[in-house]
Amino acid sequence: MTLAVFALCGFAMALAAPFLPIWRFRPGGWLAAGVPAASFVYFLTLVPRIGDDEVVTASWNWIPTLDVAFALRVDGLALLMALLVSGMGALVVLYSGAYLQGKPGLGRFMAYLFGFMGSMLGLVLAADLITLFVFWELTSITSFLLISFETEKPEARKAATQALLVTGGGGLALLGGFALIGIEAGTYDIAEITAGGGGLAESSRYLPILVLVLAGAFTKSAQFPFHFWLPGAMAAPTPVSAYLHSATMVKAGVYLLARLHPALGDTTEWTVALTAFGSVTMVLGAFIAVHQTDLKLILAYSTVAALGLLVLLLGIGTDLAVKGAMVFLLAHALYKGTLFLAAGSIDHGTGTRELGKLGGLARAMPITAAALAVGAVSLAGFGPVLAFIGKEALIEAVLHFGQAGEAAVIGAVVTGGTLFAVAAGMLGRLLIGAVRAPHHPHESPWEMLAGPVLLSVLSVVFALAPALISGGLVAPAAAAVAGEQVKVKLALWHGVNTALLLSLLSLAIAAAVLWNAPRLRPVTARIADAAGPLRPGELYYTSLLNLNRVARQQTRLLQHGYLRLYLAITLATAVALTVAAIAVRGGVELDNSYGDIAFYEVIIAGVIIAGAGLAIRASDRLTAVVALGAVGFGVALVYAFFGAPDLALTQFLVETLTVLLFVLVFYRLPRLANVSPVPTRVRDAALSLAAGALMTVLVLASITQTSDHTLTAYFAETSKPVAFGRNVVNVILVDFRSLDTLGEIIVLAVAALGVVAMLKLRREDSP
Amino acid sequence: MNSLDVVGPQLAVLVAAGLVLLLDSLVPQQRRLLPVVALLGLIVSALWTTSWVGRGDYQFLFDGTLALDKYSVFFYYVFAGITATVVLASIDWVNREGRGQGEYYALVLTVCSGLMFLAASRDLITIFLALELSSIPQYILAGWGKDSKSSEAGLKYLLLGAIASSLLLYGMALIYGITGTTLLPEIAAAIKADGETYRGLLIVATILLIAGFGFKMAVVPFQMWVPDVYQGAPTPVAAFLSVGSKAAAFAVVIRIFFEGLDADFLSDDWSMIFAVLAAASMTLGNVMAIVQTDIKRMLGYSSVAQAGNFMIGLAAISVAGNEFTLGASAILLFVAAYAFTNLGAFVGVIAISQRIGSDQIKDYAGMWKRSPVLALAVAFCLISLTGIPPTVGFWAKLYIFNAGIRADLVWLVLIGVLNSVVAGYYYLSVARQMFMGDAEEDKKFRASPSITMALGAATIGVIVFGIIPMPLMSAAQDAAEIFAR
Amino acid sequence: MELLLALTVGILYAAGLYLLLRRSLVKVIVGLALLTNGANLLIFTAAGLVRGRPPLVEAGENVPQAPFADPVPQALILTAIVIGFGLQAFAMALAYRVYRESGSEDVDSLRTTEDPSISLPKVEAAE
Repeated sequence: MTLAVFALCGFAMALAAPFLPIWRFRPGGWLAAGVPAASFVYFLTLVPRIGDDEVVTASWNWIPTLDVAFALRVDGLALLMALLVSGMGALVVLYSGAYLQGKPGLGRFMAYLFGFMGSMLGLVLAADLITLFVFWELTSITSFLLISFETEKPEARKAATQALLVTGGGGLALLGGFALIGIEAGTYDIAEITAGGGGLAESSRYLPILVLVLAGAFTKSAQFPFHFWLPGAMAAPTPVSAYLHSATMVKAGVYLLARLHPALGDTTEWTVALTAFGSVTMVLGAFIAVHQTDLKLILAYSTVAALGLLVLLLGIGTDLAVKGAMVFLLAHALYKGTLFLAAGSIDHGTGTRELGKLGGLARAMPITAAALAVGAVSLAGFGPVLAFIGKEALIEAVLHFGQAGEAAVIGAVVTGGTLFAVAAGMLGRLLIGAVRAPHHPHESPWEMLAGPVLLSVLSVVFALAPALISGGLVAPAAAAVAGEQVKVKLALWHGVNTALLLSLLSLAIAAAVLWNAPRLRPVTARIADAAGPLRPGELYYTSLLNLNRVARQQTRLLQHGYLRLYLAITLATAVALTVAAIAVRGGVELDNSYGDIAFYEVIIAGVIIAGAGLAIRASDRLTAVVALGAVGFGVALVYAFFGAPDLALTQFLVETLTVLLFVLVFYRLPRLANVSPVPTRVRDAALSLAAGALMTVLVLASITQTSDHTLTAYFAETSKPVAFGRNVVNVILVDFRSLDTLGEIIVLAVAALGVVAMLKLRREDSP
Repeated sequence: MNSLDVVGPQLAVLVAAGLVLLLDSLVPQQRRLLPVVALLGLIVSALWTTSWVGRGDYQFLFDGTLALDKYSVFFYYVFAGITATVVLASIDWVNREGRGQGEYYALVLTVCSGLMFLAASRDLITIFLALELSSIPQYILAGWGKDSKSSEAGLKYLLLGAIASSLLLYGMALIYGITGTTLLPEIAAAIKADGETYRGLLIVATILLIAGFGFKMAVVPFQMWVPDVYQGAPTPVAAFLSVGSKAAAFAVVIRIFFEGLDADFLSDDWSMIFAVLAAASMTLGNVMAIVQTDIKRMLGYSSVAQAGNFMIGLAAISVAGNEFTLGASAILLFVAAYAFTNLGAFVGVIAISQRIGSDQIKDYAGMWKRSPVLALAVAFCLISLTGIPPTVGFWAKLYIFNAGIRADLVWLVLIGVLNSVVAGYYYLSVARQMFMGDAEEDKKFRASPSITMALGAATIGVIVFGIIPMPLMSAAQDAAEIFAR
Repeated sequence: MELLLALTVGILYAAGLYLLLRRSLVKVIVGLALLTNGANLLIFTAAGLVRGRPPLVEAGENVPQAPFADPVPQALILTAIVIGFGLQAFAMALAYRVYRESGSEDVDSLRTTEDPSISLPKVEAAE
């Protein structure tokens, strides 16, 4: 219960936020930050318990029939994520209070932010796949609202929609995957599933499950080729970017992969898919980051690279790799949070984020600059920062990765080098030299400095004293991902080994990149150009355009508004399906044992057929009426001769009325002048004849089916004794099926109402 | 229990229809009361239904042609709810039109009684009759509007409907010819006894039935009337068509196919047909919805796609043993969820077009600033139609996918998943317009009280059942229990 | 006789459907009537013909004397005739209204609900 309160308090805040009067005052943000801070402290108190292999759970029945529970569960992985989400949440709320001070709609913004926080905490703590999914989609919706907060900016709208479509669409795929898992494993309980109860990896549906889950995870975590939405989402206010792209939203996909790793991982498909997509994303992200000039875009693409790296590590899936992934997850949250918040601070203090317009900030904004420096060192992956330990672990893991190891090693080294160059270029331009900025730079208020400073300090502290996190946080988290205990010993300095040498090699690459930056730029630009449709977003837009085009064509083809063609298609489908059924299933037999034909019967049939022919040929209303009457009375005669006097009587009556109505209604209509061209008539005639022939065959076929007519026997036997009626048809209608007769009366009344209304309303409507 | 008691819910509605007509002609100055009388009739009908649930006395009447079981009861509630919402949503429109008020409400109520009969019938003749009883007033209502679009809609609906009826009628006759009975349980018995000899003809009959009902359900390739009729008919009537007759068609199809034609050698074939139609409906409906610029047409196409979703449940009959009813209960849940959601969306459309005088999606831009509550309610309905939590549409989708997978229709579920993504695209695009588009004018507005009530009821249903879906689910499951074998 | 009636049914269907596919509204309505008759006759024929023996119970007996015409299809057809009439009547009224409003009895002119943004194909432009 306590768990649920601290996990979901974000939603309470989200509901209350727009109505709270605190946002106009500066300390309002401090108060609000207290809520996630309290959650953070609560989760901290859980650290020792989780370290002792305990799990904390809270569960309620939700949909018993589907075995869906609303369940939360804290294990090592969930705890690590929950700490990040709530801790970063507190800092971001504090930060936003100052960053957006005085802006209209701060209350609304806080509502979205808290809603997102609650969803994210729910997502990482969920112990049930469906619970997880609900929160997963909630993060999509709330992040949509956050990204689009500044709705007056067109790019914010576009970006938000893009993010929603990509992640929301991926989410729906995920639902399919979860439904499959639930049925295959017989439960939605994540702990049971990861304990291997269902044997998912061996199941015949493993592949669809994997594809759907990966579709969800990759879209959320911006893996190639879905990476484009993330840079677009930079249109959000900076604290939102800091929150979404350091610790939370984009990590959700990685989290999901880590979470399901014990159940789905360690198969060839898993390894190949994750390492391939992960490496491509990693290299691509680093590569594009090099020639960005907007500070936030640099950070966005380096985030893409980091996410690729995490996916790669989870794909490798060895204990070493999992350990590395957990360390890097934490390290990335710390330094990317630092960098984004510092970037926001710079934007706030100088009015721009363009590298070209900035310089000498070390003097103008010393605290921000210091935090930025620590963050950049981490991004580069060199120095006494946690990210260094993470990167060493990555190279170590890749070195021990059997298949295609060399390629992965090269990818990792190149990425490391490129990111180093990115970090160095960024630092060099921002901090050194004369002070340059659009307007006089000033240091930000303390609320906006607390975050970057605290995070960068932690980055260093954890690196120098890794024991602080290795046993309590990383080991339980790695154990949850690996599905077994993982020994975790972290150290900043391992001595001179291959990993270190490769790190140095990437340093050399970085130096080369930096040295040749002016000459390399056109080359990288050309490569990025050549990748054409793979460039951020273009694939997305081309596919949307194509979808639209296809849709337009389809609509034009099928929904043209021509009633006659609708009729023809309906008819053709029915005929085709019927013929197909007969062809496949058989069962239609015709024999020649049909009864003899009396002379008068030929005449009746002749009258009907002649009437039908006349109706077709008729070019004026009178002929049409005569034809109609001939057919109707002919049919009535058939009824009369074959034992159905009631039918005959009704038919006579109805036919007379129909003819009368026809004459009355169509009295003033013009000659039937609209004639179709010959090809159309031939086509229609062919279709009609086919349908007619089919009906003839079906009639003959069904006559030969003789069966005991149980119902007939029942009525025949009970008609007199039970209902005291001699006319069985009448008895059926009046006694046994009196309800039907009532229905018929109502139908006639309604039709009359309709006729009267059509004619009366018409009169009322006309002026 | 006598027979009058059994048809009480229908009679209450019909009596209300008669009263409305009487009132309109006798006391024309009191026209405001007409919808009140209509609503009262529906309330009485629902209460009557509730009284059975209290008594728990379920049985078959009128020589077995009418079933009073949990299944009919479920649908009685659904139809009463739908009709009540439609009546509420119609009030403004009817007042503005000014003419034929009594007739309008009477027709709406007659449709409702027809739908109720349809859900309860278990005899082919009664089914045919109930179908026509609900259809003819719908044709009339579709042509009720003043403009030529409306009469055009009515004519298209009627002519295509007549073809569908004649196919249906022959399918029924064929089944009678083979089995010698029109009662569903006896049909099932006869088919199990010696139906296999007539397999080909039975399949033909099945196809004719599917074609006839497919028209009402609006599945591909019998969907062609949908956009034209939705756009041309008065919007409250379009709302009625989109949920009422679709729900009833599924209700009766489930009964016919699960109760009468459930022999294995038949269901293998028809579940395959349903699966193919489901895939085609979802795909074509969604693809065509994308390019629509008129929201009524968009909802029309999307309702075709939704019918495809329902149909996954029909295809899922091959589920074995005690889970046999899964497909049926999934459809029932989906029907109820869809009823709330689509009605909500349509009522939102009515509210907006009343104020801005347009059904174009582009004119929805900036609705959030002009009428926040309305925009939010419509957005929730759209999210629910997409199948995203925390709305009732999500559970419906989960349930139906679940049924599909259990029945080994993974391919169909995958198509469904892909289609959900496409559907999300156009549903959420409307939401985006409302929240992020630039309004051409900023004049704020509010929906009228009756519309607000209708929209409020629908949206609250969408959200409340989205968070606590269990009551709805157990009702659906109970109702589907009658098919357990 | 079954053979002859089956042929008649087929011709009624073909003629009715052909007329339904015509451009003239009046012809469409006539087609509808033919189709209704065809459908009823179809059920009647398919259910089996018994010459001149209505399902009546003779005075003093308890069951009708076999062979007698099957009463169940007759009940179905009776329902169908009545409903068909209702439908037919309303269709005529509606067609009349459509004609008065659009001033044309050309079915192809009934396309006002089309979405103008989706350009339309020229179906049978030659007509």
